[in-house]
Amino acid sequence: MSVVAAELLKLRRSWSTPILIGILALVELLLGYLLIYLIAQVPPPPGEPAFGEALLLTLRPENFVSNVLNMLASLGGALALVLGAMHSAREYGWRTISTILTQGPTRLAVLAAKAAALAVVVVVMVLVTFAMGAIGTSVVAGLQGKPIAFPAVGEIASGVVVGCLIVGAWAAVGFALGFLLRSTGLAIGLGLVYALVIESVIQGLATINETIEAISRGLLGANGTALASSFGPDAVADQFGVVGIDPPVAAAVLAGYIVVALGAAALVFARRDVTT
Amino acid sequence: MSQALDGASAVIETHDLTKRYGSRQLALDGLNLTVRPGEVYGLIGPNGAGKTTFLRLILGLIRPTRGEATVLGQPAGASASLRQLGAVVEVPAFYPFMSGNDNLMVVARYSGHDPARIPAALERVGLADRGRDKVGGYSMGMRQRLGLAAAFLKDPQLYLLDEPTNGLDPHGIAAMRGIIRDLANEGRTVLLSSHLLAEVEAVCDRIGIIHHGHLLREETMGEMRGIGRLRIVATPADRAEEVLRAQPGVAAVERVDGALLVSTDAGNAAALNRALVAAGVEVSELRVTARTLEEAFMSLTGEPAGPAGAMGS
Repeated sequence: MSVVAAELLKLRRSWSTPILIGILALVELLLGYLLIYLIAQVPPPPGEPAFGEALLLTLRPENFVSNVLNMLASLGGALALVLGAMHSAREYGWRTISTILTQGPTRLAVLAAKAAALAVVVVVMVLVTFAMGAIGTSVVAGLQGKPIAFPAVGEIASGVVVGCLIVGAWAAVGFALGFLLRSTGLAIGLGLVYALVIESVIQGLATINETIEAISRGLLGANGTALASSFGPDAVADQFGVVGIDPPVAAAVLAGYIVVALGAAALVFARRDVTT
Repeated sequence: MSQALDGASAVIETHDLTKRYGSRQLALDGLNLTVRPGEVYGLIGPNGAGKTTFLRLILGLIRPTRGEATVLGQPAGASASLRQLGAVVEVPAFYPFMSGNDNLMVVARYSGHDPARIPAALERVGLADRGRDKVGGYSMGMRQRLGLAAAFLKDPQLYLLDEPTNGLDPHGIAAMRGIIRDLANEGRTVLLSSHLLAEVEAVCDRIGIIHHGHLLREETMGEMRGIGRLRIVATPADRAEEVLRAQPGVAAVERVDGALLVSTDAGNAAALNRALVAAGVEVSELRVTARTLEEAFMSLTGEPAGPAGAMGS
């Protein structure tokens, strides 16, 4: 436990942790609520159906779990990947990997402690985003003069768990990339290229070929989005475009990403010489 | 200097320790080395000789291609041995966004030692008033001292110091030598790796010379200097040189400023004197001129030392 405490101390002292969490919280408020609320106020062009009410529906307290999860599955995932990559790769950049490996704990114990500390930050990230979502939806409900009626506690708790699974999978992939590549820039760069480009291309091509479609169903982002969209009313889910993946399957795939990422990191970290 | 305990179980022992990087670079080749309890052992060699590779093997950061190493009775890199040794390898690495205090807290928590020792460790290396400053603002010398403080934190029996005076000013270098002597007086074992011969000569009991991955010689400082030279002034000089070259144990004879410098064991002095007198040579001066460590190193490796006794670049 003392090694986990050391890792948490490092994460607490690092500027990147509060900045990444802060960015997510701020974007959740500004883009997830304020921007959509403002767009909903714009009258539709003549002859076009009104869309404001549908948009406002997504901002209501009963939909806030779905709203927050969609933010976590998109921006949250990318930021978690950055956080995970920095958490592992920076040890090589600063050469502190030698410092910590010569203190006594085994390599697997070091990796487990780092992963546990990262998991704590992931939980904090998810909770802060949910808190921001709760504030945002409450303000919107107040502005609309609607009652503030949050979903049942069980649904919110499930949402937090799912959020942790989605963000944790991205963080684990970043964490593993950091250990595999031993370069913060390279790990973040390749991770974001995958998240922002490769996934989009594959999903875009999924409709033209069955093989590509099958591949797209195994993508990290697709499964995160599918799981996030399984919360909330059907109207909201339809609007965001649900990928046809059953939630239990999506959850299993995300858990698989975590296991495989940590396993690969452990395999490489335990065997490879440390020459930095 | 400390008294090495001959015959006691070794603190560090390696057998045929070999490390090859890839298929071409042989960094260490069959190293057999022993560090005894309570001694200050100097591992010297030019840059690239294999010193840091050796230390990384001892610390378990890299794995040997062949051979084995034990540290404090445990396989190299074992948790039990790592918790009992303090290491400063190259320029110590710390988290730049954290203070010296917090960095030592990380070390304490990692090594399972009491964080209450942090103030004393910082005090001992002269960083007590800079402990709250971020390490990113530390000079190289301050980082070196913080590395030593991290080692003190563990109160270890074995210290591995790799170029510990890197980045230190003259006062810092003198202080570091004092610290190493103090450790020796406390009965700690110190393995000092350096390419600064004067530094090693000043504090070490025993020396290992490493070159191109091979351990060329492992001797006490006295033995290393003992294979010294005799300065002999004799008449006639030509006859004296002829007699000396014929004696067993004489490696070389050269003339310098009218004197003969004879490379041989100092213990041969009396025998050489008798041989010269028996040959009718008049000996007016015969004295031992101990070699410096630099001279010993040069004669073994055939490589010149750099300025001020520094090897390599």
